[in-house]
Amino acid sequence: MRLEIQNLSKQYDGKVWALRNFTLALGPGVLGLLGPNGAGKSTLMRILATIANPTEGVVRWNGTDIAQQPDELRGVLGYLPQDFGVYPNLNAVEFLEYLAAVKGIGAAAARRRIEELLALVNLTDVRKRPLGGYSGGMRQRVGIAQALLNDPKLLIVDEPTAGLDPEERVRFRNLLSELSGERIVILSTHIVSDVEATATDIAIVSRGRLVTHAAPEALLAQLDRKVWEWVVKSEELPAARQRFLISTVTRRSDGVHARVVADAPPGTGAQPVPPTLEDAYLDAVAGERRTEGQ
Amino acid sequence: MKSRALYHIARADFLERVRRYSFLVTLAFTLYAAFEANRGNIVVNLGHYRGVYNSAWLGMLLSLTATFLITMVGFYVIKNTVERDQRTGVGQILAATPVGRLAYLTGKALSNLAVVGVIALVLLCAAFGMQLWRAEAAGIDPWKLVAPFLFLTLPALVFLSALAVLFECVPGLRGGFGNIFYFFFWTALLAAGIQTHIGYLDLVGVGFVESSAKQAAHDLPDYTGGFTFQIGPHGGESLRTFVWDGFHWSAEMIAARLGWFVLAFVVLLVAAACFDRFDPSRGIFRRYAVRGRQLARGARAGLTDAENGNGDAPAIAAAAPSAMHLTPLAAGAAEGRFAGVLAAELRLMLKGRSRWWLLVALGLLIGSFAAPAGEARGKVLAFAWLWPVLVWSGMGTRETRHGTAPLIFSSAGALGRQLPAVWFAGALLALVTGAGAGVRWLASGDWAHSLAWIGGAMFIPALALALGVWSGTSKLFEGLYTAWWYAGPVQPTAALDFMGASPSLSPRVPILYCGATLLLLCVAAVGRRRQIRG
Repeated sequence: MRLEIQNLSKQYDGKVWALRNFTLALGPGVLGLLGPNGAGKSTLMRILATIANPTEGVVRWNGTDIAQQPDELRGVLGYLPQDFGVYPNLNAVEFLEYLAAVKGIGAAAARRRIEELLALVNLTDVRKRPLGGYSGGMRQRVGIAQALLNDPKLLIVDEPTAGLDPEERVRFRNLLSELSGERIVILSTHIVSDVEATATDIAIVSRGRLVTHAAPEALLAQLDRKVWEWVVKSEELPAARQRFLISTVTRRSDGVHARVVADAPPGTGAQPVPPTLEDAYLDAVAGERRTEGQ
Repeated sequence: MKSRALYHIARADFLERVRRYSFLVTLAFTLYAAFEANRGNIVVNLGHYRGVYNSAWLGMLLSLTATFLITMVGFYVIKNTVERDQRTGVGQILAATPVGRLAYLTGKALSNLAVVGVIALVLLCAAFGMQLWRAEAAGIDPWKLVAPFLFLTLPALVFLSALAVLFECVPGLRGGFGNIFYFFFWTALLAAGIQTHIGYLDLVGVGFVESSAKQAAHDLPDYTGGFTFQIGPHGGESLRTFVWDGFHWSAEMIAARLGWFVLAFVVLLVAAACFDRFDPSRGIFRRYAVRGRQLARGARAGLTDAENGNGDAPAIAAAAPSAMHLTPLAAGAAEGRFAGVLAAELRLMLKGRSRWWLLVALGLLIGSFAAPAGEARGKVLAFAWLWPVLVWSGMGTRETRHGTAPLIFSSAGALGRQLPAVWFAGALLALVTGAGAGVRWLASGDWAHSLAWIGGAMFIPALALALGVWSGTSKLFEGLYTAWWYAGPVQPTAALDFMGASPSLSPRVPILYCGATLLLLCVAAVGRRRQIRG
């Protein structure tokens, strides 16, 4: 099972490049796709989900070009888009039965699968209620259920935890971890903790380009002894922000505790601290911006 | 502050519309109408006469064309301004501002007026161009060209703009039923203007033109009092010409036209009273408000029970992460089955229809079975195939309207299985609802009508699907189908009778519609392929 993305580019209206020369190869596991707004994550996912064509480059699923033969992938694809709708007059069971039929799943298999999925996403007790009366979080869970209907080998989920409460978020993360063994999962999100909890690989995207692709441990190792906790006075903070990349600040009685990503100690009294994925993400994006600016 | 807000509501809405691809299509259609007028396919005849193409005649001809076409088709073009704010969520933002209902809706009506005004302006320019091109009369008289647009077209457009807003504010008229209702309302208004010659009823202004032109033609030799406004190719008869000096605008005529401005304002006031300000619990329609509250309560109850774990779901909520497991699908379980998709599409199509809807459909089915052969049976079939128009109009647009496109288009067989299933479901619906007439024709060996019945059942969903896929809206089919239904099977006009409602029927017509079905299905497939590939 292999997904290869080679020199993928996507241009909108002949002007804006949403993706540029994006190359990546994936095997089973969870890929956490991180990047700022407008980085090109959703464009990449739409291309991988076969609902957008690249301007340049090729995507191969087990060696087959998905632009030429999209049904090769669609049969084993589960896709949860960032924005999607539901038919408001159908209930969850009817909606999932409909999508199961569209995905070519037989009635009996679909019925069993839907019951199981509704239990999994905690919607069993509201399964007969019209979707028009669902809250945003409940609709999102219906979206998650539909993505898993056909037991996908490639699962693409774009901001899947948006609108979910903390408990449901944890449940979904656990589900992703459980699913990842025998399939490729691509998880795009802004929430670094979601990636931290589930991803076996991380790809950071910025301005349509792949900034880095590595295992979380490797990303963290790159920042070893490069993250510092530095106590500064409140009035010194703006100047510090100008000079250093500060990932978080905490105000305490002795001053502002700033978490600084820098090659050398930012000032006297700065103590090295273990890096987090958030530090790694911010450092990678900032580094890419610096490169772009030069 | 208020006028500025009004201006910006209208401006933003206008810009949003004219920057859409569909507006270019509308302009192209307008230019085509002007081209047809120049070719002599849009004419006003007075028996064997027509006016010399001077400024007065062309101003009248093009303004009448503009008023006629815009009031008929333009309504469907502009009836989406409030709905767009609802759909995009901008309405929620606007609802939280101090802008009042009347101001908001006036801004929307002004935007409507600007859109249809651009269309009328194109036809006014065409009138100038035609006079130069045809060169039948020397000297352009700008006032005589412009005045009919000011006194005939503008009041009609102002009223239409307000009426479109009203339709969007009244539950029941907002959707497909309103689109169909408008066509009949417009037809009634047109007939009232022509038959009564009462200025206050004559929205399109045909009655005005008729009175004025007949008066001028009164003394022409061989003139017996005929008047025709015709859109479409005429018999090729060469017409004699006479010089028409234009309207003599009396105070009474102008007052009658200005009356539409007053009526437009009244319509806006009614719309403001009905407008719910994007909150179903407001407005005067209490029934809908109660329904909306019930829905909201249902959603809240769902949240309370399911999300807070207070309902029957705690066992699931409390399930340990390690207990989560999905049974793999058996091999072969996901092999495509067309029948399954077809059943799902049929269910989706009919879901939400009330018992009353089914009862009426059943009544029409029995009626078409019981009706005697000939005109009566054809007429009942025509009504049996008007009733499901709102079901067919959802075909091809449902995925876009409800935002399910990415879910469906990323599925295997979205083009090869789901799209044919949608059409097949629509055709099955047509066959079943029209089965009364069809079965009787088959049983009596009336093969021409049987073929027309089958051809019609295939053609209607193909038309709905093709228009839906390409336009992304159900309005185009609703408007076009209703007009076609009226002109073809109801009038009846042989070439437009796609269902064989007229007693005398040439077998060539159903064969033609079978061919058109194939073409439309190809058009729909190409459009869907384009949608799938982004």
